Amino acid sequence: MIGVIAKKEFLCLVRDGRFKWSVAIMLLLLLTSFATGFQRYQSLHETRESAQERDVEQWLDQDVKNPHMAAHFGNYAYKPQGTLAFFDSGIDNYAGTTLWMEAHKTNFAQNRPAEDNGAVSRFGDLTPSMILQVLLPLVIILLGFSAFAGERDSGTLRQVMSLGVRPSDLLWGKFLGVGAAISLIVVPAVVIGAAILAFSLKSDSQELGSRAGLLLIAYLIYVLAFLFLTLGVSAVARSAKTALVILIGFWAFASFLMPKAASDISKLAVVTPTFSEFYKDAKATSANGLKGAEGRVSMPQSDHVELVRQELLAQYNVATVRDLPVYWVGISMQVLEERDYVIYQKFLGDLRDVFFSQQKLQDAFGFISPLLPVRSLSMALSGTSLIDQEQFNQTAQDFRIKMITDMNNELIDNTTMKDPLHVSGREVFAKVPPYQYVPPTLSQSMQNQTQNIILLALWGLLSLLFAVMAVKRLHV
Amino acid sequence: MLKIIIQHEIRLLMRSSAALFMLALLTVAMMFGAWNGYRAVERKNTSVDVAVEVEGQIKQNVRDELIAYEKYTEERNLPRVFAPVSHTKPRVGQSPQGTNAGAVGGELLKEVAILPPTGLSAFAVGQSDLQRTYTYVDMKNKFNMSDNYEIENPLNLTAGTFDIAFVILFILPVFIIALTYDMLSNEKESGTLALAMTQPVSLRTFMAAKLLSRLMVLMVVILAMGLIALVFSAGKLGMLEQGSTWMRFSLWVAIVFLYSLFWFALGVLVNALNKDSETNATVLAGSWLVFVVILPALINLAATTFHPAPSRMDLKVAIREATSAAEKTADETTKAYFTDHVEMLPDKDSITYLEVFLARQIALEKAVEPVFADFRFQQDKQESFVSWFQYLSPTVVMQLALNEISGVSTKRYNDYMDTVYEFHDVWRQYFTPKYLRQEILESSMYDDFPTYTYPKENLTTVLERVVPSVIGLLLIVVGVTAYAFSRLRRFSVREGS
Repeated sequence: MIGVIAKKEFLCLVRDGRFKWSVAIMLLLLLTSFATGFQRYQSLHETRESAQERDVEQWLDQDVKNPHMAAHFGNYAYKPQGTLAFFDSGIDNYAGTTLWMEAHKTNFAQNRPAEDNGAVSRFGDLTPSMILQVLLPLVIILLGFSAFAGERDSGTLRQVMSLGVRPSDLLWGKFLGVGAAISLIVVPAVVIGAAILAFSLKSDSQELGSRAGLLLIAYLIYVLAFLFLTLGVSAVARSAKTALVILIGFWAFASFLMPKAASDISKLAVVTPTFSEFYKDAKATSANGLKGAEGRVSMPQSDHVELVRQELLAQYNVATVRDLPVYWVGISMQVLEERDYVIYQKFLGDLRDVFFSQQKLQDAFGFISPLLPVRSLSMALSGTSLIDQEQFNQTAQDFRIKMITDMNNELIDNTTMKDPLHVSGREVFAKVPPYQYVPPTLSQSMQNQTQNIILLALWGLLSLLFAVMAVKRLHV
Repeated sequence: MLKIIIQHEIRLLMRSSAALFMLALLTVAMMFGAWNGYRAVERKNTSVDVAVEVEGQIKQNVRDELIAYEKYTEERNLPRVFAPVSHTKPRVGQSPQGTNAGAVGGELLKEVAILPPTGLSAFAVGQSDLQRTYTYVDMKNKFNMSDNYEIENPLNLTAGTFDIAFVILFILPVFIIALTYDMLSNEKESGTLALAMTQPVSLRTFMAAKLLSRLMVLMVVILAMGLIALVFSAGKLGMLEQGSTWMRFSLWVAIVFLYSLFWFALGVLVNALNKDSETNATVLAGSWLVFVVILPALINLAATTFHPAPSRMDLKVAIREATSAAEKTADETTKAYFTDHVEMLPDKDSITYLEVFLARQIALEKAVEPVFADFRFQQDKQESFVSWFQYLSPTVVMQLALNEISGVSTKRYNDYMDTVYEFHDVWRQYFTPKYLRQEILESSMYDDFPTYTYPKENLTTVLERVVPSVIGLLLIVVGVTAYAFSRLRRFSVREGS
């Protein structure tokens, strides 16, 4: 019986002109988005690789100079994209891509790609993930809203029920029929995506297969949730018109209103410091000491440096730094670098906490919008989420302190107060290993995603339950 | 007759709980949007205020040290010298130090060049959340200044702000669709249309009345909410008395009215096709999707594919390339001195250092300018591409116009940056000769340091940029309305015919 119903449903949909149009448009959009996503990923990948390679050469190829001056020239970290960015570009258009690692200064990753594009880019990018998250649910709604309600309007539901068809058979038949129609869009999308991954792109991690597999599962649950929801509403609604209005209203609410509203609410709840406030506080802390910290970092900067100076004077038993056999300027610079590293780690850590609490709060709204959990999961799995950006920031800060320490030590080891002039060349600069970004592992990416997995699973389960219950009490 | 039907329709609307619910939702959304927009402006102002305060404090400190030095030399009858400036305060027992124009204008002080908000800033966040609305100007190269990074969670930037512009662009059309999709079809389905047509009224008058009544109710709500938002936000920013604020608001009202008209006209057109309410709703929802979501995304895709922005990574690589090239021309002996810490060097060497530093900045700018100019060039190309294709989607037209009217457009920002680059030259022209001539800075000169003021905005520039959009939108609206009403001629009132 289920098979017969499924076949009828499928045929009815496929023969409808509107269906043909929507499948054609969706496939066209999907193809376009995959093609441009692929092309963009590749061009960014090449730019980034060559920039980072060039940076290593530029660092080594510097003119001979004072090693501290070399640290001022510093290095640049350029943010690479994960392979799956061609599918979901996530936050990448709005996150900094270049980070200058230089002496004395702790910088942010700057230059968001969106800055150089026009205002139209704020409508959002047409990526495969956007199509699956936003457009596909609408197609599901348009295909499924009249499944029960339409038959009720035209009176055929009464006839079908009078034949003794079990309501649950009707549900599963309709589910299979509409599902088969939707798979005409979904299957090509999966095939294209898998083909690009398998044949065209070099993998950036061992876990690419599992990431792609998990993406598939997440989107499958999302699609099923919308399908059951549509069938359920269609069974409950008084007329097809009502079902359509309710479903489209929910879709617009979940896909357009909620992401923005959640973001604004999270900004109200957890306030982000501004650029000038951040540096004002960090610099004041650097000068006055980090309260509550252990050791000398908690002291005012001048006391901290003075203490080190006194220790050195005592150690070498001399009266002034001029008489020291070691290069005091180099030592004091290194003391300040280490001190500031601790302080900025604290400040950057606090900022990271702000960002992650905002994300957590936004994710919590996933209980009224299935888009939010699937969006977060998709970004995390594609390697284009906040975690990836923070990994980039942290690896760059760690590289920075090491590079500067190497250069300062070079200065300290080779100079004295009497003879402070020293230049180094390529062989010294080569002691600094090139900056390398290590993307988060799958388990790191999934760290903050437990809540989203639960929410998405709940959407799948509850919408299934809702559809089953709605059909049980089907009124003809 | 028209008046009677309008009165009747408004009465019906006011009794319909669905319509009232939607109007209430619209009110709430507008309020939430106004609040978020205001918060965004307030945040930017905080960032500016703190920056000004911090830089002002630095200036004060540097000046105080100079005053101490002047007092010190006067008391002891010593000659004042042209000297490097210490980055730290003199230690206990150390005498106050002199100063020089190169270090003061090149390393210690920065002018905060501010792009002020407009009276309507709270109505749209636009592109203004991507970069700071102030620039630190010093004697370093100009590319430094173009990185006006402001801290913001990239997740929030990706989602965009729920501001008034969002309510107008995305939500308002949904409500208009809900108010119009069954204007005629419902009357026909319930059989009242034929009845109404027995009265001495033409179908087109009947439709016009239905249209006008809904338009009037909606515009009253939008206008009221807009006024409240304006009084609230511009009032708090202290810009309510300015004529330009009201000029911008009038433009806003005009363009919102036009945009609403477009969606109403589309509603009439779909009703004129004589399909059932369900089909009307589907077609209108589909149009919403196409105009508000798909076409803007496609236009963006095409603009960024045909005229891709260059990569900032390439710019950084070019800057470093030029830095290294300039370095290699310096002679061996000075290299050893380049520790970037002028206070460590004997006077003679510190002077060499700063001279070389300044010369290097200029050489760097010359070498990198072509790479840098390419960003603006590609952005202009994208914009001219979009300015042609925007008419495919009234929502894109509207977005660009709203950004322009609120003063958060890329064009306004670029114009501002151009004035900052000009000021950068003024700043350099002030300090460099004084430095090279080894003039001794006096504390009294600190009041004469160049200051940046944003040039008074000419509203005709805004008008020039908005007028093509307004005319384009107007033509679209007139076209759709005329076609819709001509279709009504062929509308059959009775079922099944």
